[in-house]
Amino acid sequence: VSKEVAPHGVGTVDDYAINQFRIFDIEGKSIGVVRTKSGYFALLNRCPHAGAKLCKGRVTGSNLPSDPDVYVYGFRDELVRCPWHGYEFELATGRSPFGTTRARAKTYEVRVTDGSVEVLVPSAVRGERG
Amino acid sequence: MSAPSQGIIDCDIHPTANDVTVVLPYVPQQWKRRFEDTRLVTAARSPERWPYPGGNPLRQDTIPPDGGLPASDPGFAREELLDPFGIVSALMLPAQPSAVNSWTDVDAATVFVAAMNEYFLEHWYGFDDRYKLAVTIAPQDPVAAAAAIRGYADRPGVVAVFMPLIDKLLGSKHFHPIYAAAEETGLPIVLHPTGAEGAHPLAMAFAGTPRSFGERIALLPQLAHSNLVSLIFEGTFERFPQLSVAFIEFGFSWVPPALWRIDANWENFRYSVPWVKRPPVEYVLEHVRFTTQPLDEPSNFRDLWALMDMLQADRTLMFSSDYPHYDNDDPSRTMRLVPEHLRSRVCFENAHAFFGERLGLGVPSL
Repeated sequence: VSKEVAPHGVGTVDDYAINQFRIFDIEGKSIGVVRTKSGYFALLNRCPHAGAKLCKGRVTGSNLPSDPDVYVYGFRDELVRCPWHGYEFELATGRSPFGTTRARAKTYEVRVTDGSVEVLVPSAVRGERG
Repeated sequence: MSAPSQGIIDCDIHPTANDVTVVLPYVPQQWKRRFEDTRLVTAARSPERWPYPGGNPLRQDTIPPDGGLPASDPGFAREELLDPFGIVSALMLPAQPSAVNSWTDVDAATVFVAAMNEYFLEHWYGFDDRYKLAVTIAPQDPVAAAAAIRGYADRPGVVAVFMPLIDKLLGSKHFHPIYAAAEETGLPIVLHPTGAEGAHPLAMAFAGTPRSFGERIALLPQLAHSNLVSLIFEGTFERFPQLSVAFIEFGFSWVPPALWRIDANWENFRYSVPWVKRPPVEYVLEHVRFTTQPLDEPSNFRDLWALMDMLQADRTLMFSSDYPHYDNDDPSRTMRLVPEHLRSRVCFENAHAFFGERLGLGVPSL
């Protein structure tokens, strides 16, 4: 099944406070869009672990694997932490850092043109499930 | 059902001294008078502390022909256990010194367990070298315990360290000197109930105090469960990557669901314990072992086999009899109930790999 990827307008850069998700209904899917120091990111608003509204979670960093009793903070503002069980996913890739879980969050491409923010989402196809 | 061709390694037998004053010849002079005066009451027990409903938890058929306590005669135990079942190595976990987890005088505990270790090495290992000793330590003084462990590094007959459970979980920093010594000497740490748990404030508590004997025995896995969780979340095996730990007589059927829960909570909260670098189950597979006795008895034994598969028993489970206690498992019955594809792993190879060449059975194949 071929999918058309269409741009969907999600406001202008002025609408985005840093690290604050905005949530949109696009092609029947709930999608969160966020701006961080690194750019704009969009994720399906559904945690791959237990289905929670992932984009209601915090943009955060995490403690890197470290020696006992030592905390080394990294990934600053590059992760979202699910508001339910606390699973962390990289905003850019949807991957779980450090391979903590194999589950991966669904991400979408975001582009910014002349101050307008667009997220690229495949068109809804009959039978497809978000 | 036959035993594996290599024979059986039994990870839990309980030799007994008829009278603990047998240790006096092994005690430094300055302590002799002290022990003679107190007459060495090894366990601080009320007679009404979980009285065994049948009068005595030791198998009365293990009383030697010439009298004495069950399993007080290495010759009779050999006739009863080692020879008929083809046991090529039997790990001694003496109950009398283990009860020092109820002792308040830490130095006395250290001296007493050292003397008991010498007694069993001389009178049991010296009698038949199939008897191997897990030397008891008094973990209340971790520095003295670590020194003791180092002193046993090259002692023939010593294959493990028996650490009674005190009031701290095993991931506690309190135990670090002990783990460092265990790692340095290559001696695994083995854990086993002593009878003081839950009944004495210096020993590890249960969640609440059970009333009756059976209630207590049914709860023993609780102690192991708490300590397994602690070892994992404290990053103990990251700090001590050569450390090995065996939970003996705590059963094993509780372990698979415990590991699911440990793994799930690591996935949820890894960021708060970043020193747990790998999925917890991996540490267990590499560092932790469990034993068969008391073999749980589901109405359908296939349920037990399913649990063995979930536990990856081909790597993690070792045979134990618990001779001469009332709830010991007859080795031939356990042979029958462990599925054939696991039998040589459970009854020989896993324990061989765990205790290593000190068993005197050659180089482990695993």
